[in-house]
Amino acid sequence: MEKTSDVILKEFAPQLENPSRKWWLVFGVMLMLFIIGIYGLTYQISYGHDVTGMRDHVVWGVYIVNFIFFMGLSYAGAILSGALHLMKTPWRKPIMRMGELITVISLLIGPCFILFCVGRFDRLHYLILYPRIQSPITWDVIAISTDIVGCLLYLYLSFIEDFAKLRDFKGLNVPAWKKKLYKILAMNYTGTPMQVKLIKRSKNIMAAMVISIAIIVYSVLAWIFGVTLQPGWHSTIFGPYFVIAAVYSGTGLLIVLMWFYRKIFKLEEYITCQHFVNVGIMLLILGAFYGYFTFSDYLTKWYGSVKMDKVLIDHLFKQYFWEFVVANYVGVIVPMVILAFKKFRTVNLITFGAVVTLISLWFNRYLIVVPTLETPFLPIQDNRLAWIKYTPTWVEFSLFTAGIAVFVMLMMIAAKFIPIISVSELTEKEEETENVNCAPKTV
Amino acid sequence: MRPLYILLTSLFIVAFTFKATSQETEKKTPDLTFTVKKLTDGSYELKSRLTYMDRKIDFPIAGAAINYSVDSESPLNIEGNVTDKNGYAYAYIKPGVILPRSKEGVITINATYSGNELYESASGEALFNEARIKVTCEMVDTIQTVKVEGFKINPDGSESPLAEETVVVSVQRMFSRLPVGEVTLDESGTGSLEFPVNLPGDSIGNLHVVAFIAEHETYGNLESAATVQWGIPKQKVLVTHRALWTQIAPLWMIVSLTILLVGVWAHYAYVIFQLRRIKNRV
Amino acid sequence: MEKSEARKSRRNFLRLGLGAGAATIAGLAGVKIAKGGEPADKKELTETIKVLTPDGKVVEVEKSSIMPPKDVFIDRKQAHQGIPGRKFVMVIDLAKCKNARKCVEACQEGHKLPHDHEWMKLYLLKDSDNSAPYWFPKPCFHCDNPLCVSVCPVGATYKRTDGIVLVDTERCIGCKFCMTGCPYSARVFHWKKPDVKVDENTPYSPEVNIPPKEGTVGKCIFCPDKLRNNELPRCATACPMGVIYFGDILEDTVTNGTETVRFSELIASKGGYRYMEHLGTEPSVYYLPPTERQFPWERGYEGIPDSIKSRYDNLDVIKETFHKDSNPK
Repeated sequence: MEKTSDVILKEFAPQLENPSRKWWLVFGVMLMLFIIGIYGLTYQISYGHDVTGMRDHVVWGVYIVNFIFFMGLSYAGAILSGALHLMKTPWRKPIMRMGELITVISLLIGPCFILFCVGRFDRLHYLILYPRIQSPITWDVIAISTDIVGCLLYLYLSFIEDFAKLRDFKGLNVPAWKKKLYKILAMNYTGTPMQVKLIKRSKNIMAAMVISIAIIVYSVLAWIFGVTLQPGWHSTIFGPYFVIAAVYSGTGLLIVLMWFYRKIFKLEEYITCQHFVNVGIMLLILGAFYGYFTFSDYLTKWYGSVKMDKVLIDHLFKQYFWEFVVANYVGVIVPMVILAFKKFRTVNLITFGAVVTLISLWFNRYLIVVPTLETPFLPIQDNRLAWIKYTPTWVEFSLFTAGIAVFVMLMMIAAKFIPIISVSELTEKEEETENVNCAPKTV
Repeated sequence: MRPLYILLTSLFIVAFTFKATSQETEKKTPDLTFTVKKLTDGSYELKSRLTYMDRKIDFPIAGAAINYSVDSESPLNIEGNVTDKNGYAYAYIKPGVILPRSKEGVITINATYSGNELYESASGEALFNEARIKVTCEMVDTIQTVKVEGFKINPDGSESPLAEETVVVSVQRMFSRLPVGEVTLDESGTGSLEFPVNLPGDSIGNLHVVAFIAEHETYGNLESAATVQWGIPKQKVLVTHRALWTQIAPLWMIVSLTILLVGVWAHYAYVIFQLRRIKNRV
Repeated sequence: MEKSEARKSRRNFLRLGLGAGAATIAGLAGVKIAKGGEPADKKELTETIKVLTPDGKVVEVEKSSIMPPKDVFIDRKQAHQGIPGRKFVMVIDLAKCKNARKCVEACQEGHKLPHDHEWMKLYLLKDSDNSAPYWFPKPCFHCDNPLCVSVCPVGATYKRTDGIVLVDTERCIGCKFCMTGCPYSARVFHWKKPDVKVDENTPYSPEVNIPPKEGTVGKCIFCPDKLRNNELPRCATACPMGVIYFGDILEDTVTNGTETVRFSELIASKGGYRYMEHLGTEPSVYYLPPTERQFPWERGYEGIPDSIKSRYDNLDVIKETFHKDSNPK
């Protein structure tokens, strides 16, 4: 890519300029979904959690499923922008920013779902006022806030150079306030050798931090389930299993977003089929890992089954047969098959595989949360149907769609604010020698 | 939707209350259970319980005044007892008070509740001959022995042995008495019992031994108590200060968490410091 | 021993010439109050009453001058302290239980619990195909290694020195983690505004948990308010069969109200055990196996109202025994 940054910026300028009618239309629809979600939330607040499908045994439902799901998506950024950055993978450049945006945005949405699940909205500050650090929820509060700060910091670091470019680029037709904002956010960055060096170092540090924190955050999430004695949850494999499943779903989402942005902004020149295949191969590997973890988890439960594990597995295969097939067979096999054969590796098919991944991973989380709660140690003996079997209500779904809508809206806004492909990364020349050095010889 | 709901609910409540009020004209009949017990120091405990049966459940009636009288011919009023929240009212007759009795030596005490606009009146009666028992704890040839003596109190005030009666020997526990054995009094009105050696007592091993005769057809309720250090000192309650379930976390957890957090946030701080340097174009 | 001391203090009180027995008008939780919300003899509150003085004389005093010994009110902070020197234990004799549900009723009434929020639950269990069904009353087990307490993020639920695990519903944020943490499903949630009539001015104590609060967790608390007065928990008192024994394990004594026995001897002679011992939660509730039963288990199903019956209708053992002739669902 021989283009200079000015040429690229000129090309990307329409993305950042005043939104089109289509943009507003999509945004409006998303806003509607969001408002419906807000309505559902106020309905829930005024009538109590009774309006959800949750009851005394299934105390966690779609909210927690979505919490895990969105938190999992945030992994895309950690793995891609973090790991690929550290490994200096050359093809990462056009897709890194998407990964970073996914990370931050889904990280902002995910925790909201756990708040919907809390019975006393008005007492949330107790989590900070009276924390008990033995509780995995406290770990979660600490870990997620640390993660959000880290990811925002990392995102900002990767933005600075582009902000400076946008500030200096004259051909941009945007309102004055936006220009001013670019100027403030660019922070006197002019690209002096010292500044370049500092920002490189900071990026490296934050990339490493973001990866490790993301692993901790997701393990903590898994331990919320793992530390209990409930059949199906009390498993040492849950930490790594959740991490792998999270990266898997995050990578899937990245492919889907690549597809959309490529289409909308006509970025075929930058995001090529090769990118899809490269990310797709990662998806393939992660899918294999995910399948392996799922298999070993269920195999050991089924084979040497404690009574409750058997009850749970029977429940899964009877009541949740199709969901189980989608989550644990379709979700592994379909993406893997698509990527395993050369002739299937088209942009659209890979994206289809990614969508399958996303859907199956959502069901996977549902199957982790709900069936276990439906098969407690002491069998549920009740005549109220809602107490026996969990069925999510419209309130829960309205908030689910609102979550997706917010994700889309924030993605749309972000793409209006900064080029979705990092201009500075594209024009940057890779330096080979710096960074990782051996210890100096002492002899 | 909500206001409508509230309106309907309040209408329902109003209707319900109205119905309830209209039913109130009928007075309810309470039960008064009344027992008299002679205590160790010779005083009498008068215990009344006023309840009302509703849907097969006994509900105590609180704040009801129970009056006592001894023998209807020469009334000695012991007024002013009000039932507590469990429906109990206690009154005590001091030791030494000579209660009027019939020629046969029968003492009659009446308990009455006069009723009010909601409840009918209720009454209870206790009839008994005067007697007393006495418990002593002593070591007989290294054996912990509980000795019980029983006396009839004749109308003239003299005492004679209470023979052929069975006395229960028990240890007072938090909620009730734990029976440790029964003693049958011989012709001289005495009897004894070997006391178990392995009972937990209080913190220094004290046990409160109570010997009693309950609901005897002639003598009513009699009891006598003594405290003796025959128990095993009560185990101390273990206090756990640091565990997963205590308020304060185990040390290893605090240490691990601190290392993690300091490690991460130190890096953040370093990066923010770098950002400052970029801004200041060092 | 406490009892005798309590009695003594009562007597001292009397000697002061101020009181008339233990009369309490304030704090009337769980008391039948005359309709209209007033104590039965409210009218008399302003009147004079006659009191027995130490020398046996009867004097008349104004009723309002008498300070009735109030129930000790235990506030949220004090509730963290267990009853000193005690460690409570419950023994449930499965051989005697016939599902009379009096324990449930007393608990609901005593703690002002909404209709669909039961702290005490009655299960009909059958451990394997060839074992016999039995009724299984299940309170909170007040474990010595309580997972529900471990996972609470705000310290709203805590374990005291006397073994009792309490819930402070003014602290609880309703995250429901404790509900998933408890392997015995002992905890229940207030999913909506509790539909019970409770005086809103009732001061809140975690020892009674009245009034119930929406969006918080509730569970059996062993009735510490009763225990403070040396009274048995409501379920133990209410049980007509004497199924539920309760006591201080440090005194090695349990009682069901009519019978008092040594805990260790009861457990030894009847083969007492703790439910799901292998989970390592160290429950404070022991069960006596349903041997030499006093009733056939069917009695417990026949005697209950249809609304309760339907809870068990999905169980194989009920279908086989009672609905053989009716159409298979």
